[in-house]
Amino acid sequence: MNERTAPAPDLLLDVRDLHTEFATSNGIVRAVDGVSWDVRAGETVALVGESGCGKSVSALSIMGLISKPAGRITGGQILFKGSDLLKRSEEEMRKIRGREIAMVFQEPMTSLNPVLTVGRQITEACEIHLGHTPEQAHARAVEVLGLVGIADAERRLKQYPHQFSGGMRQRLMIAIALSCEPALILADEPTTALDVTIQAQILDLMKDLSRRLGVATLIITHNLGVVARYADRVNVMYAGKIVERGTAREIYASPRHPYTLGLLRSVPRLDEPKRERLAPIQGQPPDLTRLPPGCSFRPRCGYAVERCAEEVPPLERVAGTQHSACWEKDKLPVRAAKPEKVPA
Amino acid sequence: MLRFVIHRFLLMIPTLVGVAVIIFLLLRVIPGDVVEAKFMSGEGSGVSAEVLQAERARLGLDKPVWEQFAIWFWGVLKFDFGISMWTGGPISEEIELRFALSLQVALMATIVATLLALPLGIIAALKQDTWVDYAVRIFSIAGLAMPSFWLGILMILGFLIIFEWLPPMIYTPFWVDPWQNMLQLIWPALAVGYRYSAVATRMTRSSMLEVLREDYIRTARAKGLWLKLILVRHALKNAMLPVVTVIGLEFAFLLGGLVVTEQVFNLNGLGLLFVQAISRRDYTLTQALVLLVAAAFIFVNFAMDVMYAWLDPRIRYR
Repeated sequence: MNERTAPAPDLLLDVRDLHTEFATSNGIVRAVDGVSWDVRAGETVALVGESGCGKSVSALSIMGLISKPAGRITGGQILFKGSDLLKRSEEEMRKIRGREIAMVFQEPMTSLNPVLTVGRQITEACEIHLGHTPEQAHARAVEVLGLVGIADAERRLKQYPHQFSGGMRQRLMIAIALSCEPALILADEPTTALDVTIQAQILDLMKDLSRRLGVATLIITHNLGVVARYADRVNVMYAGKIVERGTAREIYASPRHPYTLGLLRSVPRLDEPKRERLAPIQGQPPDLTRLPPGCSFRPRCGYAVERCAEEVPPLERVAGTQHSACWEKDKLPVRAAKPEKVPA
Repeated sequence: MLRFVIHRFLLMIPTLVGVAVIIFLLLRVIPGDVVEAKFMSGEGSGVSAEVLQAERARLGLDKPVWEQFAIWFWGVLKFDFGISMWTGGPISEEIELRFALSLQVALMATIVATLLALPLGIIAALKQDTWVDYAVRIFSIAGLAMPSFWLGILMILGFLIIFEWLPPMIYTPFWVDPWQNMLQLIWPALAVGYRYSAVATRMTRSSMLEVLREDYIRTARAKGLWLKLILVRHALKNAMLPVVTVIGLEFAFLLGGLVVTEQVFNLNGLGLLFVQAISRRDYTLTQALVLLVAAAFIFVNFAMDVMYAWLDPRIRYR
């Protein structure tokens, strides 16, 4: 693979041509198939797509938490602060996990250990990564609980996860992620398991913390509404590949890939006249063990032409920073919208 | 937590009373009684009905059942289990040494089983589907397949043939000579403990495998914790719940259920006493033994409940 020159100085994470595969009984699944994207210091980037498109696997690849031996990273680079994480040993990766890159998971109900106090679960990372004494770690835990808006920290730290509601548990997960002041937080569907009202609270909290503390955030989601409000830049993934990228504003104003268009049409909106029903994307996500030749989205695409069945469209620049992987990208209907008004 | 413990403790009382009533009634339902067993075994003749009747009267068996129960139960409340209907000796004396012996073997076997099962189960789970895992599984299946009395016979023969040595065959209480005592009891403890570890090993392995797939283990890994810390702090405590159940129940079972293995090692434990007491229709002794073993079961259950609560706060706070 071609080595590129040193990354731009403000690039915190630079994923280049990442390939992650899983060996299953049905054959090799290319969960992440040559994906490149980056995150700058302090910014919020979104990775959007349906279930099984490779979003979560991308995040786990960065953390070095792909389950072996079924899953393995077969190519590419993950440059974090300029050095390749894929070349690190397991012990070096352990020192990065939680310290430099922290992760918030989808299921707050099951992602906290039920038999350990919340305090124990927040303090352990600081004790290991920062060499905090129990007292220092405790003080830090009180501090991060304050940051995520959990009152009465001293009492709460002695409690167990089952004594917290779903939204509160996700706050705890964020508190754990923040405890060692990482440079980057990977949030894998952080609000999917929560009530709609709580979703907005959690996302506002993450956005606010990201601004105040300068932590870069990668939000993985299937909800383009989330992306509109909270992300600076967006990468849309389909079947292991990035099909469209750009700033949130660009993507909302004029999506240049039929899949993005479909995703946007399937989100209810308040700024448009009430339509009779939402327009879902037809069909199912493809079976990754036997992808069709050409563009993976073709079987579900209303704009497909003959060429789509033969050649995989490359990710090419459309305008500004917007890129799209579609042969028909210039012929798609224009869809005007202001991103700020899209509800979360 | 304290309230939980007290609550569970008090629940033991009605259970024990229930056991007392049932065993008392059941024994009286079985055909034959201690007097018949004593005088009519073997030849079965030569004793007149009057003699039998007089003997029944002497033992109080001519009284109405409810009265017999009341007398016996009043004694039990004062920890007086009466005298054996067969030997005439006080029951506490009959049981004392044998209980000490059986309890010691059961405890030692439990320790052996735990020391084998936990490390083996954990390592098998960590190395799932490698040769280590297969080796552990073969070892534990072999344990299940071999009865412990047979393993005991093999041990004794092995010592005799290879080392020309026999473990002591006369029981010495621990407080008299610990070394001699251990030299005798370690072998049955190993034979029984190995078999007992098989179930616990497999339980540890499957429980650990299940826990290692949990989301909170992924969270712990994402925090950058050491593997050892993840195992000890995050996985083990969660994985222990079913293992505690298996070990606890097996322990209670060992107290009274080691009849054949006790024979092999020439141990005069509760198991043999149990068989004798029942075949002789020794009502008072059987009642005392059943009550003792039931109390052990109930107490082990209580201890397990407390252990659960300690392991899992969700139980504690309910």
